Amino acid sequence: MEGLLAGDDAAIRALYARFGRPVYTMGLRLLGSREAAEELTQDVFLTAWRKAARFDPQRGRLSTWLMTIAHNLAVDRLRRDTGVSRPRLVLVDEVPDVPGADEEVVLMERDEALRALASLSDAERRLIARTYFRGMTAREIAEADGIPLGTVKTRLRSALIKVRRANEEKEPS
Amino acid sequence: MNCAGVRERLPEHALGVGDGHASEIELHLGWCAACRREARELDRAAGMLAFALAPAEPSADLEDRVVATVTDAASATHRPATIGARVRRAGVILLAAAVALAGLGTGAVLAHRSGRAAQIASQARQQNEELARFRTLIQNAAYVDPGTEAALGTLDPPSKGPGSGSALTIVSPTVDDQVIVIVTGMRAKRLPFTVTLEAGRAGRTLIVAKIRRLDSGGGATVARVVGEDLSGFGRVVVRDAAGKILLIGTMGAQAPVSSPAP
Repeated sequence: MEGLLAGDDAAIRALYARFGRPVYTMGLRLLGSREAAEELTQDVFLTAWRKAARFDPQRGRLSTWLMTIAHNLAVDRLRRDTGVSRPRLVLVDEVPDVPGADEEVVLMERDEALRALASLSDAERRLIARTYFRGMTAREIAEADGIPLGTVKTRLRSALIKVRRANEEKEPS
Repeated sequence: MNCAGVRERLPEHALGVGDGHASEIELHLGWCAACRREARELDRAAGMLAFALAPAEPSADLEDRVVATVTDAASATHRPATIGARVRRAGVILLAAAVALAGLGTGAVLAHRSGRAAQIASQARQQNEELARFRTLIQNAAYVDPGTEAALGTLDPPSKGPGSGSALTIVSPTVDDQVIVIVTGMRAKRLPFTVTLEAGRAGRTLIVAKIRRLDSGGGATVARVVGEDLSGFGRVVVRDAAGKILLIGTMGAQAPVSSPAP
């Protein structure tokens, strides 16, 4: 982080090597275009540099912090672009890896995410997808599906707890 | 908002699709350890989800563009305010703080005008009270990150002279930092005035804004969202068009915006 804070070329490249693709992927899946995803990626790393001094490893992982920045920026843009159709969500189990993708760079975080998703039912995966990846609120989902708001909220919490517990033994408390 | 209300909203909060109660939730999490534990668990779960997407391959030159974006920014001594969502998010806080500062500026200025020893002696206590008021108001704005900190300072003439003022910096771990300065009782001579934030003896200088005109009370409010970490900027200076220092002040220690435990 010291290198990032100083704007050190090698430090930025190291951070990009680890998180560039996940950040870009989130941008592409949420915003629906390569151009928007690349713009988001640049914004995320610029924000990370600006806020590097404020990152506190005691409060959470670097990956969580960085992806939270990415998610916040992406959801902001999604909401700002009201009226633009949201892109179809593509979860990892629906699409094969990009041909030629280097398996060696598959991140530990992705393994954990896969394990977590596998612990969910199809309905729970869809619910998580509509909120986290498409920016829908519980109320919007309740209205769309014709079910009580409280039920959606309860199911969301249950799904998140499952996600968390799927990797509980690997995560420091 | 009580624990039940917060717990009900925490899943959406963690997933970044809250229903507009973010500030109330953060306020509650500031003092409720049990809800904070629950929030941390849900946040960690949500943070993990980002890696579940089918990986996509960015352009080969994106890495170079990212590096160039950051190194360019790092090498610049001054950057313009950022655009778009970050400004929009930050602006909510800025607006709330500006409204608050307008109120406290009057009180602080009146205290300085009186010049009474007792009031000067109570300045530190007054600043704490003002900061507490800021905390409350800032928390009423949406999108406040729990790691947000604020620092407050009062501005005085370096020697005998008219005017005084107040300054507030808001430092966030995830959105752009902000600074607000209010002056009052100034003479409209040698405008525009330049408001700067300065860091250390030989440190950097950040131009906050130009004051081009004053109201009937010799006052003005300037505010800016900056693409720079304001943690190290401890001094605020207002200069006239000839470079003469009209007001100067030192920022107090940064304090968390979250409320203390009951």
